[in-house]
Amino acid sequence: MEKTIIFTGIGGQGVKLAGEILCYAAVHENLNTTNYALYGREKRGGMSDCYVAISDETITEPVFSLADYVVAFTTETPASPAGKLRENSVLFMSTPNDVTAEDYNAKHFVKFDAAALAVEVGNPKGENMVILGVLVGYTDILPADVVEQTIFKKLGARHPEFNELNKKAFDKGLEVGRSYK
Amino acid sequence: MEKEFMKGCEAVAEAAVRAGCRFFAGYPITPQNQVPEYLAHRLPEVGGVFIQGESEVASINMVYGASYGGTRSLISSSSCGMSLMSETIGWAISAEMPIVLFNFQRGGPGIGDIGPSQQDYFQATKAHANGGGRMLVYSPASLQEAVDIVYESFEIAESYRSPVYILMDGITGGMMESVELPEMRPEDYIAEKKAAIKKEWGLGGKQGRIGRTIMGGDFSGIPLQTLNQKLEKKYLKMEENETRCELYLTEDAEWIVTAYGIGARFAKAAVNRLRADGIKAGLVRPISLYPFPFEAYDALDYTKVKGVVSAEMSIPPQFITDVKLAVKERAPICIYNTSGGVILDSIEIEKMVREMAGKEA
Repeated sequence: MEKTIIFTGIGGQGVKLAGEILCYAAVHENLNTTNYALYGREKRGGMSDCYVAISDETITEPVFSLADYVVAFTTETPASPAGKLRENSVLFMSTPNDVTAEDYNAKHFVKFDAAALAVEVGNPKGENMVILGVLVGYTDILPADVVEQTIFKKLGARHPEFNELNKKAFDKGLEVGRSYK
Repeated sequence: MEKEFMKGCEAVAEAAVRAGCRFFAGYPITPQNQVPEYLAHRLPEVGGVFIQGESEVASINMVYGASYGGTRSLISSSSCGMSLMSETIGWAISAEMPIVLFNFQRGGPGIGDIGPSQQDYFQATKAHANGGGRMLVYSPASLQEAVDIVYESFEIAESYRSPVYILMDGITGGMMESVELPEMRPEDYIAEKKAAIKKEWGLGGKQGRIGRTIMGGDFSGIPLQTLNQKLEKKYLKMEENETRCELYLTEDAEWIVTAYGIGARFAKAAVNRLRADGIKAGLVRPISLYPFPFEAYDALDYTKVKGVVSAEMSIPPQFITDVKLAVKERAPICIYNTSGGVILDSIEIEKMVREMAGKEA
């Protein structure tokens, strides 16, 4: 069974990193996976999308216009995430703004404010870890403990002191994601 | 062997090292910067040399020189960077240098943009330089295929004494996929190959023999026509022996989708969905672009084929020119093409086939 995810945000939000961690976790689970990040010329502030496919079979397309899960890091993406949704797709929207499922014509809508949640757990830079947690908590696309260990492995290798902070952010996201089920 | 989840640029760079590449020179350009970044630390580990040149022109000339010394040499760039190297690429064809070249295509013409594209098809396959010289051009569709082709390419380049051009794109360079890397070629094997080149035609010190002169071609009393006749024989040999193509579900196909490189991944996804809906679609994917696998299109059963969709990331389309020559008006052809970093969409390919077939989703 193939699952496709588009992470969409703006440069500097950790869009690509969130996608890569999910892929490494999939590799750990012996699943096939592809990852491709499409971004603008700007170091920060430009468009930034990351395409992830995870499957127990061969993956044909590494990039796709519509995905099962669309994970928006902000409402301010240059292209609306609405255009990336299939009929049954889930739209994850991280924003402090008052937006609704109807605004995006989304059948399944998971709204939260990752920036505020990251601050709440004392890790203001951990916005993307919160978002990853919400995605995993809601979908169970991969075991949460495997994703968490992947975060430690990939981000904690050089800076193990951040493991605890990243765990708090990821766990907060998991909690939010599971509450939407 | 265990698979590794790697980024395209790094996977092909490692494949080159394992194939025996011991010299790289290049100048930064997106979307292939991870190639020099990787080789900057990797080549010295295996006793190789990495140089960031002061320009593309300097870099390709360094690679040309290293190749003359028998060292397996690689250059990597993207689109407008390749254009800057054109003159020396022509010299390399003329002087029969077994250089391996990577082009991770970005937008064009001119500076274009950093998004993926397939806009260098003509440049790579028809005339990268003046004088009509040709070289082998391969275009992989997956990282595994890219790794395998790169690994072979140094051997092929030496066997033909010709540059080998690997035409990739921004997606192939930037995407991550699991690959099985080949074995590292032993040092004595690489040294043996280098010694043979030095002995046969390369430069390695006079060592008691008559000195050699570095020239773009052998013009010592021989008319240029003779050199070009020799090169032509080589091109014909390539055309006879080096075509590669994937045919996917084409035996009973009524609708053919044709695309190359990464574009073929989207074409294949469309074919799979069409097949699942009972529409007999198939894929023709040229892997070698020069020589172009015309015979693969001849092998299609045109009593069954009702139409062809040719897909590529180039406006205006370029790949279509060879597709038309290959199909020879035996079936109608529709074109689906994008540009400017807009990636082919399998949904659009599927839609186009459905329209031709008169069958909606």
